[in-house]
Amino acid sequence: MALWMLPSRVPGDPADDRSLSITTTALLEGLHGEDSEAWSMFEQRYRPIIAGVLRRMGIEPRELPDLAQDVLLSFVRDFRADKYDRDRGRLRGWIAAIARNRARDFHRRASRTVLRRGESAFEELSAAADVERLWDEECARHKVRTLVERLKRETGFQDTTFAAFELVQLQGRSAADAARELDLSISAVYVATHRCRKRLAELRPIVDAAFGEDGATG
Amino acid sequence: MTKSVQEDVCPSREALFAALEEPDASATLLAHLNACERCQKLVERELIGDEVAGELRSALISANPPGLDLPPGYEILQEVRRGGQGVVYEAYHAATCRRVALKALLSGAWSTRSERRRFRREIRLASALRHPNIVAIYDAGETPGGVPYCAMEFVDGLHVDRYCDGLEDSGPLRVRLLVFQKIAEAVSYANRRGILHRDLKPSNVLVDSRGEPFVLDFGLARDVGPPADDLSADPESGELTRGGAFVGTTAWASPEQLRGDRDLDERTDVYALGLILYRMVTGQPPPPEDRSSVGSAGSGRVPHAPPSRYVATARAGGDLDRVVAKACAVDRRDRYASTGALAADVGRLLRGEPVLAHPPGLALRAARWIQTHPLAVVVMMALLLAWPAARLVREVRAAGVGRDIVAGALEQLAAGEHGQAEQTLFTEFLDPTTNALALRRLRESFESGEVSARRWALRELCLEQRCVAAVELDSACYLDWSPDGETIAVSSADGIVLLSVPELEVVHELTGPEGTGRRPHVRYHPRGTHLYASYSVVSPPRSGSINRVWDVRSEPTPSRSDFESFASPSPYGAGLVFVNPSREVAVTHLDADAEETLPVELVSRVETVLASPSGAFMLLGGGELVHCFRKTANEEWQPVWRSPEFDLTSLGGFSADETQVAVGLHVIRIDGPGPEILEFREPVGRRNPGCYPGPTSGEWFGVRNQDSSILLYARESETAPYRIEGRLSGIEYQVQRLGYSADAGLLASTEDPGTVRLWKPYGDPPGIVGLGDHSSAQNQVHDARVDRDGVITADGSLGSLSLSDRGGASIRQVPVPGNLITGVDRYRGESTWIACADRAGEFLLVAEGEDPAVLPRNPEANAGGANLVRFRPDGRELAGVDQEGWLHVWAPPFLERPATSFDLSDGRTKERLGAVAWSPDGLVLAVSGGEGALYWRTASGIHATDSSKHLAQTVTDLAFHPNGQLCISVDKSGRIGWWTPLNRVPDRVELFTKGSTPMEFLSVAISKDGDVLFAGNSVGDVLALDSETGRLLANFQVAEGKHVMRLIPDPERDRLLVVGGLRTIVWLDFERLDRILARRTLYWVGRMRGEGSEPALADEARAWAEGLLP
Repeated sequence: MALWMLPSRVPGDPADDRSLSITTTALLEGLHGEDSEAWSMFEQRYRPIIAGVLRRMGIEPRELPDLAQDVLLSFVRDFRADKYDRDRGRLRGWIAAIARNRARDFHRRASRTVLRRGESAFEELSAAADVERLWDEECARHKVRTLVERLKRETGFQDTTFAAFELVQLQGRSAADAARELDLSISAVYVATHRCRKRLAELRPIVDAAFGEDGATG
Repeated sequence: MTKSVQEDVCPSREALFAALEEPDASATLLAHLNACERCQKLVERELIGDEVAGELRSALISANPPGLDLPPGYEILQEVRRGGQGVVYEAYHAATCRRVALKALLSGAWSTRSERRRFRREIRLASALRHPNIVAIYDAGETPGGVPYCAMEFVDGLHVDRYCDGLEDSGPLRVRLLVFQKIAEAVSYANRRGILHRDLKPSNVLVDSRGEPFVLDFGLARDVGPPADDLSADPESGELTRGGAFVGTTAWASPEQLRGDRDLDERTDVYALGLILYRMVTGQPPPPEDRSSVGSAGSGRVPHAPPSRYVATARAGGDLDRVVAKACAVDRRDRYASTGALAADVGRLLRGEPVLAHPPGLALRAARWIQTHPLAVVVMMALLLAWPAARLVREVRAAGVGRDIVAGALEQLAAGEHGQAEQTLFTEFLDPTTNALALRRLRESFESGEVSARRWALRELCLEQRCVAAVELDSACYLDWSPDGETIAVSSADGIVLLSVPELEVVHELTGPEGTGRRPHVRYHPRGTHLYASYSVVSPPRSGSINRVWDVRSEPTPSRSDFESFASPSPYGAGLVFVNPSREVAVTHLDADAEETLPVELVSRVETVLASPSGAFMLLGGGELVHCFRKTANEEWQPVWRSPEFDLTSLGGFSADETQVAVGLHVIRIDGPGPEILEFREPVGRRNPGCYPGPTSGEWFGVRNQDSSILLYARESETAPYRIEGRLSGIEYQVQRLGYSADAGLLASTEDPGTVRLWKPYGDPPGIVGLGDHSSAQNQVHDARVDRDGVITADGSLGSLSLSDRGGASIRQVPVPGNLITGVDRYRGESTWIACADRAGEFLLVAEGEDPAVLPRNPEANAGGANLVRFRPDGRELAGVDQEGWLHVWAPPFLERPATSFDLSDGRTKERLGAVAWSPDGLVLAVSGGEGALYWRTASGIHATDSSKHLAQTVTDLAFHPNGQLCISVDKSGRIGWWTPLNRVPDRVELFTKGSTPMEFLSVAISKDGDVLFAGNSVGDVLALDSETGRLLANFQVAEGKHVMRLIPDPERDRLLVVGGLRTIVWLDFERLDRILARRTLYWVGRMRGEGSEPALADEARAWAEGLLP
């Protein structure tokens, strides 16, 4: 019988186990209820996607965390005021519309203060459908990032297993190169890569389920 | 099972992948794979070149400038610095949406494979360091170009030498020493984990604008090679280079590093810290190393005669001198044995105590200790003066000292054991379960004479979790505390186990009578001498329970024959009371088989008996009825009432005063003419719930299993309903039973299946009390006011204002036509006015008994959405700000004359938030404009300030000190400004960050007495600061992750209404903090002084404390 201590969670960690075990639908429920964690999980899940969309709309990276937060807050306000009807449209469309408005406001302000950054990039992406497409792309990317972060955390980013996987899969180095680098045999690099890929495949449905239809790329 | 493979024949694809699947069993095959290029190609085609890899790569692509060799997933914001060792960027990490410092080392620095391996190892070690003054490493690896990198916490700050140069001359020594102490403690923390820094120098220590130092680059430093001919020193930086590759920094290197010794230890870091201390206090770089002295014994390179500035600033100059000299001794045996010892000595210097570098006599030390431990004095004064409220809490909290420990330390102080007392203060409050390792280290460092880890320990304490220990047992169910609080008895599928507190280790396992089930009802007799268990028997023809009693004064042994009863017995005097198989109420002894029946007038089919702990009440249950008896003066049992309303089989327990009992879902008052079911405002759920007595008679713990939480209910008065006061979460399974220890310090819970937990139910934040229904309001509350009539809240988009009493009980709703009410204020004079602001519309005024009316604006003003309203304290004006950056001021009769309006937007970006505050005398109105602008409006008009130069972003809130001489501004960029009203520049501005990000402040308030300044941010923190010095007193995490929109002091009590964003509106109640602290301290003082109940303890503690004072 081992005495154990409760692990301390790192807030905002995209690889948080619990955040993946809750579907978006359940999170939305939580936003209605008393669950104070629902908000932080919701934020953790969608802030990077929103930031990604805003980034593609020409917002400077420095501004992303705050602006993404604003978008989320606006959504939650609408949500609590029951303005958001899930049957009428997806979460994606709703948030994407808010993001679009915020980005437009931001660019307007920026143009007034003569900064005019990213304006042209934004102009091209003004249609709602475009923003939703961005959302899908960013969501897919975020899911992959979440997967990789989770895998990294499971294996430990210092571990050679992940290092081998990272070198050959994420950076496209040759297995021989990676083996030399990590002082492993080539087959060990393959084994590590294979293991990580297998684990990724196991994790993928969990992440997909957590994001639900709003994470779907279709 | 090794698969047989012929080496010259290539295996099939399936065989190859099977080998990758099970490498341990496929050595031969893998050996073939290592050698065979054909097979490698086959594997790689599938494993590396497919679309999965492509997808992964494309997801991690970032828009970085071309030509940079950077790790995937990071986007560069700017280059921070470039040096001999590598380059540092400020970068954005998309996956976590956070700002990081990305350090890419020059490939030359780590060119060989073994060096890169070592880099990985070092990073692995360093990334395990979690210390508030060490920059955290988030990630590490290699760039596609093969350059090692690591991603760290981003700290916006200055190198420590430049930071010190920027300090004013007056009184800076203490600040310097405090900063240095933190640096040394951070290094000591790493050293104790076996990690040397080896390259400490001012440029590796950043100090942020709050004065918090961060040590960088642990594990990145290389061993400094031996001085060789190809070394050349860069005169500017003092960095040694060898063919362009960084090697080390002579200016800060220790003699043994310069000699090229390989067996470096902590004392190398001691040396460098000594030089940094020298640099910090003198403002001069350390004198160049005299090479001739290397290797010889000597006084080191720091001259014994200190430079002038050093003397001018240091009252303790002699001691400081000795500390630096000892740290920088050439022979490392003459230095402090560890960085911790150095930090400890600097701590002594700060406290005005004798330093170890020059130990004085014991008497002097003792005398100084008492002089310099105001905390102990504060506690003593508090005992004497019957808890003068908030001040005590602030001091104790500011010192971060655990409540009960203070009392223990006092006892030692009384016994003349000053050193012991200090140890107690600084070690004992570390919880032995959560901090076992830390505690051991701390004890070790104490034993070796270092008190260095004190500050670190205090910080560890702040991270304390409420659940302090947990252990897994199969099907844990019933539990009971031994009366001495040292053991918990738990029944589980394995029988009864006795667990030690707080380790939760199994001390004993007890088995029951043969043929009985498991998970018996288990209880200690209140006298602590015996434990008994009730095993239910359901197999016909017998039904009921078989009871076994153990004597637990030494090794547990059954102390009498097992006996049968209906249901579980209940302690009664020195024995047990139970219903015997003849359905009589009987009393039995714990050590003998004797049994006598009680003369209780029996009802038919009685099956359960519960006696209150003192034996004053007895509840008998049977059939569908519960009967309550009370013992009369002549020891007779008198029936009081009977009721069919509840069922005794799920008893939670009696309240401390024995007037209430928890049964299943309900708490029932039993001392009246009939049972009274008490109201819970937010009831415990229905799925396997229960209620259990809390530590005082007015408190109950409720179990709510549908959201896996344990709730603490309390009520403000005898007649008020119970409300949730606290919540313990993080529970995985269904809670079965709860019980708190006799001192109320710990709560134990069992879960089915399988976990026993220990909680600190009064961990932080203890003084947070929901405002009745508002704490779960269905809407976002943006603003509220508290006055003697109660609380008025602006309920966001509900289109109404809520008027309630201060307990949160609703008085009435006032419908208003607004869409998004973001501001509200009430003035109560000859007539009562309520003003509110609709962010999507108008400013409104509601007079008593009349419909809301729109306040007329100046026709020339833009019609921006109304934002905030505030009445002048005497009600003679009303100020409002709108979204377009206009200030409107109305004078009575408010509705009849348009406002005087001022355009404060000044052509700047208009921000959605604005702030407005009246001075207490009503003569000055402070109002914020866009982007950090701040104005004073007086009778003579609007006066602009130069605030934009000092405040980066929109001022979100303003508050005046009660004396009117100080106005505080907070803004979104983490800055708090101290202003003398009408001045153009702030008296000072302080930046507050959380991690490396500036806090986004949204609200500010000043306590009634003006001593404490509270600032709320966007992630649920309420900081308490000394309003004069800005010193951080405490951080209350009130609404994690939520916006703290407004902080509103209660004008009549020592508490603050925290209006959070998404449905959080709570009191931060300092009186309650005091009560909890007082109770806990009293208990401990009392326990030290012997037995006794709380009121008696108070007197005794006071008398005892009086005896302590000279």
